[in-house]
Amino acid sequence: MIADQFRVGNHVFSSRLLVGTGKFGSFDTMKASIEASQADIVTVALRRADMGSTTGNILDYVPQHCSLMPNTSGARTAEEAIRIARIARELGCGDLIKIEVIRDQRYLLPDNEETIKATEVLAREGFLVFPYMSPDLMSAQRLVEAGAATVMPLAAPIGSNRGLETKGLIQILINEIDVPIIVDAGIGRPSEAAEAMEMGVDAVLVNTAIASSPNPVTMAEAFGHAVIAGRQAYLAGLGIVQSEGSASSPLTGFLGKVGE
Amino acid sequence: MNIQVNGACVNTSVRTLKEFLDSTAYKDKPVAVEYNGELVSRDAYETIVLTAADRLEIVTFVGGG
Repeated sequence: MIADQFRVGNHVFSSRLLVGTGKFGSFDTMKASIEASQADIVTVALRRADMGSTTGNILDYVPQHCSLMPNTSGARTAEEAIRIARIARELGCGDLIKIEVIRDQRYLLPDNEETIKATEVLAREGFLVFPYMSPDLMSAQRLVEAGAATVMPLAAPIGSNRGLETKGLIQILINEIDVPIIVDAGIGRPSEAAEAMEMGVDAVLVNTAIASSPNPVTMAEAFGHAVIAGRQAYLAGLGIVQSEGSASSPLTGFLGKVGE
Repeated sequence: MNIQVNGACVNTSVRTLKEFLDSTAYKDKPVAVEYNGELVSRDAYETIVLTAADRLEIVTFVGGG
């Protein structure tokens, strides 16, 4: 059996489910959820460190084997994203960076143009760039030209749990873009994660749907299964969709009628 | 002397950036520091001598998607 590896650049990741660390009720729940999900890549954000805080260090609750991917949340311009990325790298957890540039505070939609500018600079500085973007084909092509290692198109607004609203545009990216595609934001159910994987995306990133579930650990496990199932279905090859029925059993050899 | 730390005014009598961080709860936290707008590497903390009105941004990882 040919191994199905999730490769980005020189990295091989052990899971096609990426999880975020926001919105969890506690670090313990977050840790248990990450473990249940079997995710490899885990995202974090950067903020001012509170001098008086006794909450503990989030990194102590991220399983050791996980790959950390800081995001540039808070950035409203390419310049701010670049600054945050450099600070993240100084914290010494690797070269992965999720570029997130958002000026729109209502829908939290990313600024593709600023994201492309930041990608160009950060790719040149040796970061493995995972840009969060609105699924526009031209922008995706420009991101690839700028040196992005993947593209991360949104399914629906961050935290909305609305599912694959941009399904048609994501399909276009699958058809035309050669770097790995990771659907990020808006996935609300494991079935939606499975659907994205069945379409042929390379991975999905989920945060709110897990963290905000009444039972995050169980939901994380469900998402883990869903991503595996969706990927297997894609590799197996989906059946043809037909307008009429076609019987599953032979049309001969039916039992005689009663009384014959 | 008074310096700005994460936007707030803090009074301190230590000499170097390293001494300042060691004198606070940041001592044992994995943080990154911008000194007057410039990112500084960990090995430079000992060599930076603080002066009045210096601005520090002290940053760490938090939860996020």
